Amino acid sequence: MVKKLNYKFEIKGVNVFYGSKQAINDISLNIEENKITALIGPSGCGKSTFLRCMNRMNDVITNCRVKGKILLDKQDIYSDKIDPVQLRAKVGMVFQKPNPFPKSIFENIAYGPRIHGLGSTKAELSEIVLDSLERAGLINEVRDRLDDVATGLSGGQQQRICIARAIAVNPEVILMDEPCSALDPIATARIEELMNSLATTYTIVIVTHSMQQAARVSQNTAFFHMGDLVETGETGKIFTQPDEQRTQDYITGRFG
Amino acid sequence: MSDHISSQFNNDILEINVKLTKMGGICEDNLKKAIKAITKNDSELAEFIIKKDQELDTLESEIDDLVIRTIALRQPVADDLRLLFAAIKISAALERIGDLTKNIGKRTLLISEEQPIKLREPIADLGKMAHVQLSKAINAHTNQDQDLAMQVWSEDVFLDKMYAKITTELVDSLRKKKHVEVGSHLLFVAKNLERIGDHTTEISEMVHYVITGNHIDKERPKKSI
Repeated sequence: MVKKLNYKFEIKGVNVFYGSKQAINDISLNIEENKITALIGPSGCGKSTFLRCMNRMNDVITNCRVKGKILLDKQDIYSDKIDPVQLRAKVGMVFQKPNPFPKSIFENIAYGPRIHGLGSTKAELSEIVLDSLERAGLINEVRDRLDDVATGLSGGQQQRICIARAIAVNPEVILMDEPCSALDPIATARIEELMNSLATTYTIVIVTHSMQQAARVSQNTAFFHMGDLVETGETGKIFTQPDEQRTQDYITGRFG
Repeated sequence: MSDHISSQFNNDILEINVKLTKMGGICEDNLKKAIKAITKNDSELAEFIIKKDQELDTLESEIDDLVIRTIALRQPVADDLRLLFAAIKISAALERIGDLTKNIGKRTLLISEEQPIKLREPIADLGKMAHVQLSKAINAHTNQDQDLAMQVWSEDVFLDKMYAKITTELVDSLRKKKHVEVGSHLLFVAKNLERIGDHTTEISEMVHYVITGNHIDKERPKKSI
């Protein structure tokens, strides 16, 4: 019996240009729902550019053009009917460097729900904040200091604040662009464990330079090289028996 | 296989392969000498191979340590990981082949006073066949030659057949209550050679696995007595 796969994203023939320079060459890739997909590849291979197409973060880069189809739940996210702000609530993002607002922990989480009109009363808003901190595995560490400024937390805690902030607006997908590269191994392990538990509710796409992280956290891996999608498949297979020589050479540290 | 960016990683893999080649060389040489010792009743040669076997045990431990260290420090994946995994299995197979060979040496000493020497002759043919299989398996590993590995794997059945024939002959001779002591030992020697053949197929299976990433998906031809 062939298991039917549920795709959250269906990406077809995507090309991305920065001015006249092409950064992504005709990539098609499906992202499975409630799974963690890792995008790996050397610097400049286009993996972050590709990630940013998935919630139209590239819109804000003036000379960036995206061609092709990116369907989220069968709906083209580049269609005129889509409001990019709503899209980014549905497809949240966590960046490489933890970037909490220079405000209290509470305000960091409450900001998104407030502008998206979630939680009309103070009690409701408070519930969203606590629930998000709980899901981000941070509640026990910050419960008694919600009014403290978030930038005073450790790097790992700040990153989990950013994850809580993304969760607070009820996203369906979380995009992570090297979320652990500024963190120590313990904080990294916490984030990875958190990703694992979040994947039951959300679809996660992570860009990482750490082969081991991709191998540890993801169910599917896509290998990018010079703007091409070289190979994609089940993570266990990619890291034991990749089909493509370029994938093999990269994951085993044979080319730079 | 092309080089890694890390030259230390290349060196680690090279060192493991050099030790494996060394083990293979000792195994081949010892087996050749053991067959000569038992068929020509050469006690001195038997003692030499018994002593030489210690080197195999040492090399096996060294390979284990190197592989563990490389896995811990380099976190290898894909073909590198298969190569290291295979190194552990192949060195274990070679170590077992070494033990079985040593056992032939020990039995040579136990029956050194026994006659007739003629009874030992068929062992030479079986031993030669086992030796050829071992050499091919080691070459298949050294040259990463999948075809040769598959040849060894499928041709072990001929060793099985010859073993069955020799066993029957030896049992016949025992039935006549003639040369019981030497005959009994030769039965074990024949069994050792047959087992050495099985270990050469393990080596060839590993060569196939390293190259393809897959296990051989068919049943090996076998002949049981």
